[in-house]
Amino acid sequence: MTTSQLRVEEVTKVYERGEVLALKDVSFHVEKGEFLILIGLSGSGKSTLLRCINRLIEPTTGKIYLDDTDVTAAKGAELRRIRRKIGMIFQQFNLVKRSSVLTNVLAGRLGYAARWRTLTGRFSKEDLERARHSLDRVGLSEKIYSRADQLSGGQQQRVGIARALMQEPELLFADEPVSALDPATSNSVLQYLEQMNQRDGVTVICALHFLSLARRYGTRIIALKDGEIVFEGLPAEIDAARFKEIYGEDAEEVEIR
Amino acid sequence: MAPDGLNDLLKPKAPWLRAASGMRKSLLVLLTDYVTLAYLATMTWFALSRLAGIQGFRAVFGSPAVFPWWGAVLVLLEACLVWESFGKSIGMRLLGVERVGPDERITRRLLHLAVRNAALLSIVGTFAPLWDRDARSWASRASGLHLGETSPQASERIAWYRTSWGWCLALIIVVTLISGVFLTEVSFKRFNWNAATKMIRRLFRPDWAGELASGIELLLETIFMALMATLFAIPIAFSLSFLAARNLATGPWRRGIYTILRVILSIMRSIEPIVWAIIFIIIVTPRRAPFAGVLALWIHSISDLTKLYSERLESIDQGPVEAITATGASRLQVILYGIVPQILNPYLSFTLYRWDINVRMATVIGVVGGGGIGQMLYQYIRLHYWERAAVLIVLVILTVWVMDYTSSKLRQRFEEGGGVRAADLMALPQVRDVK
Amino acid sequence: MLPRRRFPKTRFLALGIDWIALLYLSLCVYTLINHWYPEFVAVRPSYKVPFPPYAWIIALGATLALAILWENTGVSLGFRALGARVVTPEGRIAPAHQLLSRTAVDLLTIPPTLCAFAIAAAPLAGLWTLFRGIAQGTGVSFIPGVTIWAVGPWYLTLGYVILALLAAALTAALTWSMLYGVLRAFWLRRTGERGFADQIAGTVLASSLDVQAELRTRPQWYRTASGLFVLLLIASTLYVGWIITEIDLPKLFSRIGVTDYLWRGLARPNFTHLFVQEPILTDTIGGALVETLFMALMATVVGGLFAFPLSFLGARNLMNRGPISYAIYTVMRGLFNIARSIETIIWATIIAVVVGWGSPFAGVLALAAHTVAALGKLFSEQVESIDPGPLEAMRAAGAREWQVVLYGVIPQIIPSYLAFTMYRWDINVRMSTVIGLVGGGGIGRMLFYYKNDGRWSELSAVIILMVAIVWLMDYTSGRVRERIT
Repeated sequence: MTTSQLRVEEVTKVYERGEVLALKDVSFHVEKGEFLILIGLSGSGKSTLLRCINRLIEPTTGKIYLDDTDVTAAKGAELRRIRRKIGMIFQQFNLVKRSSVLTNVLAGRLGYAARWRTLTGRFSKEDLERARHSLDRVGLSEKIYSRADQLSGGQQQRVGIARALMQEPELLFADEPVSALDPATSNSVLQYLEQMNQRDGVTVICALHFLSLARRYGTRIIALKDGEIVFEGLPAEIDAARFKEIYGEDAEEVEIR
Repeated sequence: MAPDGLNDLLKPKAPWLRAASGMRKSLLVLLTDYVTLAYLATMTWFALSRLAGIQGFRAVFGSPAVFPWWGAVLVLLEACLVWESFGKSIGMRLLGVERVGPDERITRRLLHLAVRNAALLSIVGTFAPLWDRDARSWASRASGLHLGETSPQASERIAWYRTSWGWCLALIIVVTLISGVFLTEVSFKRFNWNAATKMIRRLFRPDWAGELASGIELLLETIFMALMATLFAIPIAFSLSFLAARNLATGPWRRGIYTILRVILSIMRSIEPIVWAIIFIIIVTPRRAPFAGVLALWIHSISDLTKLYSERLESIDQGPVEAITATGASRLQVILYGIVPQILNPYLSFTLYRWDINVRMATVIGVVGGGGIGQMLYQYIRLHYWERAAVLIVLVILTVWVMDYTSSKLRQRFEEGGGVRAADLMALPQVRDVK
Repeated sequence: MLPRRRFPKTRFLALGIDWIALLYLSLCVYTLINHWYPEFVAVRPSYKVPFPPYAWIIALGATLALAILWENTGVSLGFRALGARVVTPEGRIAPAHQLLSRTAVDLLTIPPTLCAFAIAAAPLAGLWTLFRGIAQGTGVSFIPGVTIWAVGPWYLTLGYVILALLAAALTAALTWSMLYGVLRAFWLRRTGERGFADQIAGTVLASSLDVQAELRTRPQWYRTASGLFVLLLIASTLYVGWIITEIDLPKLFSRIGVTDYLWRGLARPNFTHLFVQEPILTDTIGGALVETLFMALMATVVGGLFAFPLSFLGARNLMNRGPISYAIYTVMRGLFNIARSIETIIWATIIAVVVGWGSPFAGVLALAAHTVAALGKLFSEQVESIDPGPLEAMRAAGAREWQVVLYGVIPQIIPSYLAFTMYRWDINVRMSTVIGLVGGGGIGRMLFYYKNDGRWSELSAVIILMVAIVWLMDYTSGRVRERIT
């Protein structure tokens, strides 16, 4: 039996001295090459869970293992080494608005590049080539020197993907990557993720709002409600009853074509 | 538990906590009212006595020893209590509370007043609520009136001139202005019209031939003083700003440094550059010294720039910082790639603003001997050499005006599009379109 | 986005930037040479060196030529700052022969153009001299030997003035139209908006972003000539400034040791005169503090009251009904700027002569003068940025002008007016603490007295109190402004 790539064991996150439970005893495994999708209402804990895994937020209790390395106990340089294996894209794109697209993409390589090089802004030729290659892959080569905030939403998210590609990651986290985009652009962004998953073998964990997108792209779905896992299984298994369980009595499904 | 219930969760549960906050509020109201009434009483007395032509404390009241101080204090205190029981006092208006109860009968209010007096006189009564399970004071127990929050709609309904606090405020304003006129010795009799007209006529005949050359020289000195002070303040302020920003000050050590730094910087900032110049003149040399001026402006600029910089740091967008941390970058790299690009343009804009102010300050720092055009100007004015002073004044006006204009135009560029290249704005032909 | 500008402005602006930068650099170099070699008199450096007047012309000409040469290498400081570049129409870097021909054309056309503009300004200079002569009551002589006495019958003077104006207008109009017509004919021949030199040389001035994307290069700033040039400018500014402001660090450090009487005095503040009268000044520190605070208050109130109506006169959107109101607007704005440029302390020095040294009234007037100007400018900018929608609606409904102002303009601006007044009050408190140094009243008077007497302990007490009030004022005004806006 192969061990899973990522093991999350009984992670709990508590705020306000015990008053707010964002995550409650969440446990699951992720195998290499999966396209896992987290669904749930806003505030159900999807973003918190993703951020707990790469410790942008500290989990209160619980353990997380990445390829048998204890993420929760890692510190300093070891934590950075773990983080550079995990690429992440965000709902608000999180690009440095005033910097050029090139600089934003190069920032993805910071975990690997030598310290003195990054402090003076002189990245190596290989890194520059990698950046050009990533931008070519997401179709943004002619915007290479433009300022990040001069691009449209979809283009900015693609720059985020290019940044993640620079890390040559083993996992990719996507925190509601398409919530701020229109349906057509959403599909194209998710297709890039799918490409990374199938061509490069990157394990993708993606938090989404829309079930139809989850059904189309995911190999497995985990649903969260109020910080707990209420469903774990294949996309086809979510029928009407399950749907109401996850989203609540008044919810109705919206198609995104 | 859903976060919506957070507010209820955060309200103090224990009765003594509720009592303490209620007590604190009522004492604050009392304090505000007392200070207001004391100020009003003092100023009214002052204004009335001056209006009647009587000068000084002794003339009205005799010597300070004879004046019944305790009596005055008690009368004011009683006045506060009466005001609070019978209407909406100014303290209540400022803190957003009012007296609420089952009805507005006079007897209820009198009872409230009486019990409150008793409570204050026996100090125990003031602290009674702390031990009370219901956290109510003696006065509110007896009369049924207590201090409650003002609802937003209620406070807007009554016009100010129908409330007691409104009249109080109006009276304060009137009395302050009258006292102000007397305190600042406004008297147009002292105005020497003759000298003024002569002065103005001479001021409009500047002596260009004699003063222009040395004036320009002094002007250069002034501008360079401001420039050096600003340039040397930039690196220090830049580094300090990271230590003085609250969102970067995590952990006990950094928090401590942050607090100390903030306090020291505000003190430094409260001392005007001229006062700094006084000190530096003594140190550097008693003679004419632009160096002292530079040092004075430098110290003041460091504190002001650090404040501006750190305030900007506290309002950066945390998203890119999060993203870059997630790629595995070290703290320094996160600062360099995530924070610095966001703040460079605003920092530049603040620096220009500061340079502008420094130029203004540099023109006057000469009056205490700090060098630059101010020193010559001061001497010319004191010696009544109006023609020469006029040349220097014109030079000052020109410099400051030009400086102001350019710096505000440049700052606009940095703050709005900021960094949008001018080529895009000037519609230069695209390379591919031109044949 | 700002509105699109036309091509000639880029060229002029870039040329201006390069020329001024080179001129500044040469002045710095000149000052430094002057400093190292003894033209330089003992007590303080004199940059008032006997300098033949034609040397200015040479300097201007040489720097202009250098600027043109620099621009024609493809990218100069001005071009880099504006984001432009000289390239071939395909976007490649222009070959040397094209650049050379461009240089030649530029050198032949730009200097004469500038000279022509200078000549066109000559009548204006003559007009200025004439006016000055009239104002001073002396004669004016344009041609040696022939003096026009402007102090004669008024119709003669008026005649001269009108004649001069006509002459100036005519010359200016002729020269400018000639130049403009010629230039425009050549420059804007096609809609491509290429310059005269560019058309002859076969190059184009394009946006550097495109070029960089095409060539896939963008060198770091320290690798470009312009970047290094800017470094050079900053370095020379620092050096020249160091010399001009007579910075002398060894002296500073040595003197810190010597002046320990100062530090001892400052470290032991002496608060005795807080409530006890000073014998010579017949005032207490406490009384002076109260005086200071009231000075600031009165000045702010008076300044705000005067600035309120004046600000409407200085707002462009209310003052565009005709040439007269536009003139009023310009004059008002001009007055605001002038009064604002004279710092409060200078105002106080002047007013103290008229009112009497040491009177708080002088301080109030000085603060008020500066406050009216500063608040007037802030207020009028606020009026200029109001929403015209409600005003339009009111006018359409038939309201009269003053009703529009009262019900449309004023409610929109009151919160910011209050905020600005608070802000100004804060600054006035700071200023009023030091204004006594030059003859205003208040606590600055005691500062002046203690400083001259060398009583450092009392001085430090005064400084501590000043810090306390300013700090308190800062804090309160910050909070109140938060509540208002």
